[in-house]
Amino acid sequence: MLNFICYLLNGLSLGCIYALIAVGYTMVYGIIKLINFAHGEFYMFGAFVGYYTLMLLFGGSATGADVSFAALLGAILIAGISTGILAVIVERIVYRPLRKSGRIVALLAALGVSLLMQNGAQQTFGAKDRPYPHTFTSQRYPRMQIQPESLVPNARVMAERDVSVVFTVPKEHGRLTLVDNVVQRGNALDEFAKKRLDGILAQAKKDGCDATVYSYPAVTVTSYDGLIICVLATITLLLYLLVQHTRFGRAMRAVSHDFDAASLMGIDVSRVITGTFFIGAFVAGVGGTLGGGMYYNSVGPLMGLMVGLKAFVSAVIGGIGSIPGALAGALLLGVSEALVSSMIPQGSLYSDAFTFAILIVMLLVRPSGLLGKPASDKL
Amino acid sequence: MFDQAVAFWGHHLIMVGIWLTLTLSLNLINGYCGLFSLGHQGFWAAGAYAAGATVVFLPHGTGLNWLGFVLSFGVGTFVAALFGFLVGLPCLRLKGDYLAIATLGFSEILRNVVQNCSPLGSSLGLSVPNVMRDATGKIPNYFIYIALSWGMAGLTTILLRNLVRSSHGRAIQAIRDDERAAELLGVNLTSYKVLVFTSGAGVAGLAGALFANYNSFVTLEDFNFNAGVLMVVMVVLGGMGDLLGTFLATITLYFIPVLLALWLPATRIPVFYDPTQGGVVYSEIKNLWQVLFSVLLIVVVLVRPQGILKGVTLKWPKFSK
Amino acid sequence: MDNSPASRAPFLVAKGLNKRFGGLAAVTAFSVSVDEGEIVGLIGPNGAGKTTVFNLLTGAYQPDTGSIHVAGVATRGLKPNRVTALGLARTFQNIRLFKDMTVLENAMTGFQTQCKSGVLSAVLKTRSHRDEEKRIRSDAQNLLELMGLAEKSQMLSGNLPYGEQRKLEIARALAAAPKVLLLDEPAAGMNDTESESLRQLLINIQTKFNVSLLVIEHDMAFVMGMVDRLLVLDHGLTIAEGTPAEIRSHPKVIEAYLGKDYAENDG
Repeated sequence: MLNFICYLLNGLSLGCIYALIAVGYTMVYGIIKLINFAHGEFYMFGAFVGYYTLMLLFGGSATGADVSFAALLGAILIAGISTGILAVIVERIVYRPLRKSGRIVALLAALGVSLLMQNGAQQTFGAKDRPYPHTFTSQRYPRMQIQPESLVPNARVMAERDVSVVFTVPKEHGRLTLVDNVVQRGNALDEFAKKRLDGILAQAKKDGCDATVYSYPAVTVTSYDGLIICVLATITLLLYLLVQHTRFGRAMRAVSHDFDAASLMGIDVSRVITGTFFIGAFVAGVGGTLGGGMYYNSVGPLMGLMVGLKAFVSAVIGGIGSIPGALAGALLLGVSEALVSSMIPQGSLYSDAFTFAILIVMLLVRPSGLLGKPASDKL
Repeated sequence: MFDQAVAFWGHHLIMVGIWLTLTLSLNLINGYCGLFSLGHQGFWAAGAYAAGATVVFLPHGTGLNWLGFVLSFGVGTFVAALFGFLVGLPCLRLKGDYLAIATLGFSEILRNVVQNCSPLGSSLGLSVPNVMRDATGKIPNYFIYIALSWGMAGLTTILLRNLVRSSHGRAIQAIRDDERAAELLGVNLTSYKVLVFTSGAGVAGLAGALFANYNSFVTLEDFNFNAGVLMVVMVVLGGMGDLLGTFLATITLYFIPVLLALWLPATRIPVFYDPTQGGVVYSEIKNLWQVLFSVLLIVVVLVRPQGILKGVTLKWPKFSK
Repeated sequence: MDNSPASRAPFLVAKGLNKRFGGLAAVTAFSVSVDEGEIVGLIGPNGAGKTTVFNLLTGAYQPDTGSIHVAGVATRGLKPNRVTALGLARTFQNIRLFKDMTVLENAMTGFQTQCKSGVLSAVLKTRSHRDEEKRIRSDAQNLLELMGLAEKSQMLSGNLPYGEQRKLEIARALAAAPKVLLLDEPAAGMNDTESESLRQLLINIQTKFNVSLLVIEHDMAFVMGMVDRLLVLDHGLTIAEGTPAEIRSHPKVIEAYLGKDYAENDG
C-alpha cells in the first residue's frame, strides 16, 4: 500500500513536469492553432539556463555542497524569464511572418526551430548529458555509481532491496536515445533486463562511449516531489487569476474564441500572441529547471524531445486549447505511466507505446479531449 | 582513390533513390490526398525490418540467402502496406494536426515495440547478411544498388503520375481540396483514404526493403522522428502534390548536408564560453552543418512558404510519345 | 427501370424529417416529393433550415427521424457518395469547388460515379482506362460548352469570376448524371442580367437532361418565374406549400416571412 502511494506520488511529479510543458502547448494552440513543436526545446533551454545560473551565479556544483533554497528559486525564475524572452524572439522572427501562410507551413517552421535548437545546443553545450548542480543532496535518493565491469557483483548488493537501475549511455554521434532505462522492480535484475543491460553496455563500449549505471531504490519520495507539486499548484493558481481576472486574460480568451472578431474589436492580437508565447515558455523554462534538471538530475540537448512529445499528448488528451484540460491530461498521463511502469512486469519498457496508445484511443473516441469543446463540422 | 569516390558517391546516389521513393509515396498521402502524416518513417522502418527479418530468418543453406533477398522486397512492401492499412483505417476520422499526431503516435509505438524485440536486435540494430556484395561481404555492389534504387524511384514516379492523372487521382485530389464536396459528388472517402495510406505505406516499405539489403544493417536511429520531419519538409517545399518539385526538393535537401559536411573546413572556431567546461568551447566548422541546415530550412520556409517551385512554370519532361 | 414500381412513385420522396442540433430544432416534420421533370423551389428567411434540408436529403446529415427514398431506395444511413450514385447531385451555397484543380478537372471529377475502371488499370494506363478517360474528358468539355465555360477549361477554378464559379458547380453536379439536381442559391451574388440568363440556362438544362430541380433561392423574382411549386420554411417548419401564385397570396407567408418588404420590392 505504501509502495502504491509512492508510485502515485512519483506519477504526480512526472505529471507535473508534463503539465508545465503542456500548458504552453495548449495556450499557443488555443490562440494561433499552431502545434509549436519547438516547445520541448524551450524546456531544454530553460534547464540549461537554470544549470548555468546555479553553477555560475550561485556557486552550485554537481559534486559539492547544496545551494540555498533562495538560490534555487532564483534559478527557476531566471530560467523562466530567459526562456520566455527566447520564445518571444522566435515568435517575432519565425512565426509571425507565417501567420497567414496556413497551419502546415507554420508547423514546418516549428519543426525547423526545434531542429535548430537541438543542433545548436549540441554544438554549444556538447552532446553529453550533464549532472545537475546539487540542491537537496541530503534528501536525494541514495545513489551509487557502478562500473560496467562490476555490474554482476553489484547485482547482489542490489538484490537486497527494491531497486531500479537507470543508466545513461551518452553517445557522441547518434541523435536520439541519449538516456536509456532498464527499470527493474523486485529483488534482482531478471534475465531479460540483464541481457538488455549487457547488450547496451557492450555496444556503448564498442562506440567508445562512457556508460554509467546508477541504482537506487525504486520507490522514493523526495523533497523534489513536494517542490514540483507546490510549484505546479502555484503556477496553476497564477494562471487562473491571469486568464480569468485580468484584462490580458480576457483578451486572450477573446482571441482564442475568434481570432478575426477579436482583432476587429480592437484587441491588439499581436500583443496577446507575444504574451501567450512568453507565459507558455516561462512555464516550460521553470519546468526544465525543476523537472528536467533537478528531478532527473540531468541536462542535455535532446532532453526536450520525448518529454515535449508526451506533454503534447497530455494537451491533446485534456483537450487542446484548454488549460485545465492540459493540467488534467498531464497528471493523468504521468500517474498512469508511473503505475504501468511499476505495477506491470516490464511495463516501463513499453511506457512510450502506452502513452501513444492512449493518445490514439483518445483521438478516436473523443478527439476534442477530456475538457475540450467538440469541433463542429460546418457544411 | 577511385574506389573511395565510387563508395562515397555510390552510397549517396543509392540513398537519394531511396529518399525519392519515400518522398514520392509521402506525396501521395500528404500532397495529393491532403492527409497530413508525420509517421512515414514508421512505414519505412516496418518495411526495412520486415525485409531484414526475411533475409535473416528464412531458412537457407550455407552461404548467402538469395531467396531471402528476392522475397524480402515483397515482404517489406506487404508488411508496410498492412501497417498502412491498419493505421489508415482508424485515422480516417481525423484531420490536419490531429491526424499528424496520430500517425506520429503509431510510428512511435512501432519504434517502442521494436526497441524491446530481441529477435529484431532491440535498440542495437539488426544485421542483414545479404547478397550483391564483394567476396569479403563488406562492400556492396554499388552499381547494382544504384540501378535498383533509381529503378524503384523511376517506377514509383511513373505509376504515381499515372494514378494522379486518372479518375482516381482526381478523386484523391478532390478529397484534399474539399472532402465533403468530394463525398457529395460520389467519391467514397473511406476506400480512397485507405487506398492512399496502404499504397503510400507499401511503397515506403519497398524503399525500406532496399535500404535494409543495401545497408546490411538497420537500427531504429535510421528511422527517427527527424527523418520523418525531413521527408515532410521535402514534400512541402517541393510544393504539395507536385512531382517535379518533389524531385528537386528531395535531391537538394538530401545533398545540402552531404556537401556541407564535405566542403566545410575542419577549422576549429569558438562557439561558446562555458566556465563549467573549462572556458571557451570550440567546434569544427565542419560539424556545424546541422545548425546551418536547420537555419536554411527556416529561411526557406519563411521566404517561400508555398513551396520552392509554386508559381514557377516548368514543364514536366515528356517520357512517352 | 421504367416499369419497376419504384419509378412510378416520385423520384425523390422525403417524409417527416426531423433534425435537431443540440437544443435547436433545425428542421421539423419536413416532407417533400419531387417528380420527374419538376422544378420545385424552397424559400424561407435566413436560418430557416433550407440548407439543412439539402444536407439531410443528400446524406451529409442523418435525420433524427423520418424517411427518404431516392429512386425507390431508402437512403437513411447511406453515405453521401451512395446517395449521389442513386441520382441526386447538389451545388453549395458557399461555393465549394476544388480550387487547386483546373476548370476541366473540376467538371471531370463530377463523373466520379460513372468511372468504372479500377485503380490497377489506371496505374498501368490500360486501353480501357484510357478510353474511359477520353470519353469523360469530351463529356466534361461538352458540359463546359453548355455552361459557356469551354474557353476557360484550363484555368484554375479558383481564378474564375464568382458567377462562373457557380456555373462550374452546376456543370460539376450535372456530370454526376442526376435525376434530381439540388441547387443552393444558384443566383446569389449575381446581377439582374446574370441571374436572368442563369434562369434561362436552368430551364434549358431541365428539358435537355430531363432532370428535376430543387432550388433554394433568396431572389424572389428569380425563383417565382421558374418553379412549378414552392415550399416555404420558417424556423424549420414548413409554413406553406403551393404554386407561386398561391404562395404570393398566402397570408402566413406574407406575415411570417415576406412582410411589407416583399410587397414594396417585388409585388
